[in-house]
Amino acid sequence: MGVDISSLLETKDLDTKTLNGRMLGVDAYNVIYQFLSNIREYDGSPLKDSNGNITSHLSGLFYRSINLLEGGMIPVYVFDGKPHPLKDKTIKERIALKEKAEEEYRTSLAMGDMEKAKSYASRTSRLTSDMVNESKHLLRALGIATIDAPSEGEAEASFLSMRGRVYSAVSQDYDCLLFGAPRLIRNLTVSGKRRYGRTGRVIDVKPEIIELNDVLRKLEVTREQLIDIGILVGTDFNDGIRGIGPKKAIQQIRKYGSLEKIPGISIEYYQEIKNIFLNPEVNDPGEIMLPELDEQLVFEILVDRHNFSPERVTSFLSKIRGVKKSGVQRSIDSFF
Amino acid sequence: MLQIKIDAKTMREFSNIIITLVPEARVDFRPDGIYTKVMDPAHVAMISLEINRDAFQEFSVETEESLGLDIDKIRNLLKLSGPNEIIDTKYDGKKISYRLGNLNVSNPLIDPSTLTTPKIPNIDLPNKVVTDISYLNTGIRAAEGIAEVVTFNVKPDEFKIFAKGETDSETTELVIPKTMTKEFIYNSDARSSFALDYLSKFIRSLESTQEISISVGNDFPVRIEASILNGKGKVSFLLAPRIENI
Repeated sequence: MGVDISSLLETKDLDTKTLNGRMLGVDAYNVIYQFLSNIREYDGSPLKDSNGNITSHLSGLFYRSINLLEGGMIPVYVFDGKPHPLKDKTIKERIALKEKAEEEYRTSLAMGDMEKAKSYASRTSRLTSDMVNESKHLLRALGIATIDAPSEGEAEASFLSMRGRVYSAVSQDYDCLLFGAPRLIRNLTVSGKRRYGRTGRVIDVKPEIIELNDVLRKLEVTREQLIDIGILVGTDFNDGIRGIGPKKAIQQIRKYGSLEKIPGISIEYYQEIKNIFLNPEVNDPGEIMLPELDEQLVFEILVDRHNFSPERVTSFLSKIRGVKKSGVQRSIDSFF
Repeated sequence: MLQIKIDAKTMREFSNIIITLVPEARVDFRPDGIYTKVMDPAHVAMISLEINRDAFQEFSVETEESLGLDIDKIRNLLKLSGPNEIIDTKYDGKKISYRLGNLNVSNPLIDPSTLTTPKIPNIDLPNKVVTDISYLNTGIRAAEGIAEVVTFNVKPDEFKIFAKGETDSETTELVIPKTMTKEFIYNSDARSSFALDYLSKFIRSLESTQEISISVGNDFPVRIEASILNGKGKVSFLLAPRIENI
């Protein structure tokens, strides 16, 4: 979920041609949850193999990653490590929300309200350690690098971007900006026409980029102040202050300079939370090396274990083989 | 008003260079010559081209004009001419017309605001090799027979052009030792690969070039600069690399 400061941010449409040949640090959990939430059957249930194992995440990772590679991008998936203890409350709240959504899903299904059922179903996604491990195996077999973050995936992806190991962090969460990512790309793996809400309004979701320096310059704040704004609004590590939204938060920070100086405001573990964003637990993996494509293993995971169509897998594997063989064409724009 | 006279051979080289990337171009006519910068639709390569007024038989440009030219139409006209025939070109403020002998052709102009002039990135490349264009031509033509991508490799004492085919046993390699170059600036080992399609079209368009300058970095664009039309023009070609081993 992350920090909600979207109303303060100006995004720019992203021409993905400018990403040709560039490595992108993808927040793996964020993207996998999107696949689990979006790739579903008519009744809202996730895709499953003949043994009842969920396969929506594998489907998304396989087809979408190949599309990215074909589009000249080189995704590097960054997986979460051990969550910070301050995130416990958020995690418990998310579990409770999922349990409630599961109940609502079953009720809607029993009443034959498929629209509602589908909507609730998308909020029930769970990611088990087996699913995570199999996702990593599949990606590596596809010749795509995976990185295990010591703690938060967004923090590691942001750090890789700051170090220049990747061009940008890719996530739907704005936390990456608080973690210092110079660039944040959103909607890269979910672009296209999507239905929203109960009205089924169709929105054309396009890839967009947010540059941290632009954000700081336009808001006339420092990164530390942006973190304070996030903490006031609420992050994965703390509840926000009731009655303070993004606009009020920025007014207060501009007026007083920092959260600590705002009269009457106190956040438990404030310094610790600020430190999570400023000095997150991260690892520098050095130059990111890409594994070899292992077509046999891809086939084994998708077709033998999970009943994917052998023809489709073969066809998509030939695409990745082509990209691997001829490389990726960079664009001149990527050298500005 | 603008009136220039140009021999068909010069106009052919001008249009052949531009057509390697785009069929239409915004061309700036200035009192000292003509200038254009173009980039292909995929943003993989760009060309900056200048031709000095001395390259023309007659050159009368009173005020600077930016005209959107249909290069394909110019090439159609050139098919009707001998190499030494003079093409008399006029712009009356509305259309551009060409007279070739007793043939008159007029073409509508393309709105120049619809043709963007690309910005050239400021790229610092560590190595530069100045050599005879025929070496580069041979290396590229050999590579074309087996591959779609060619690799430039710079070492302290040589510049190498090589390509790999479907199998490891199918390769081409052209080595230009430092001693066979006119200029050799080496700062660091470099290796970059490029789409042969772009390279070969551009190199073949340089009919009047003898010597060529190739600047190479590591997984960076290559800059190829050449003098054309006996020193009366110059062209710079920038081509983005292909990234291998993904």
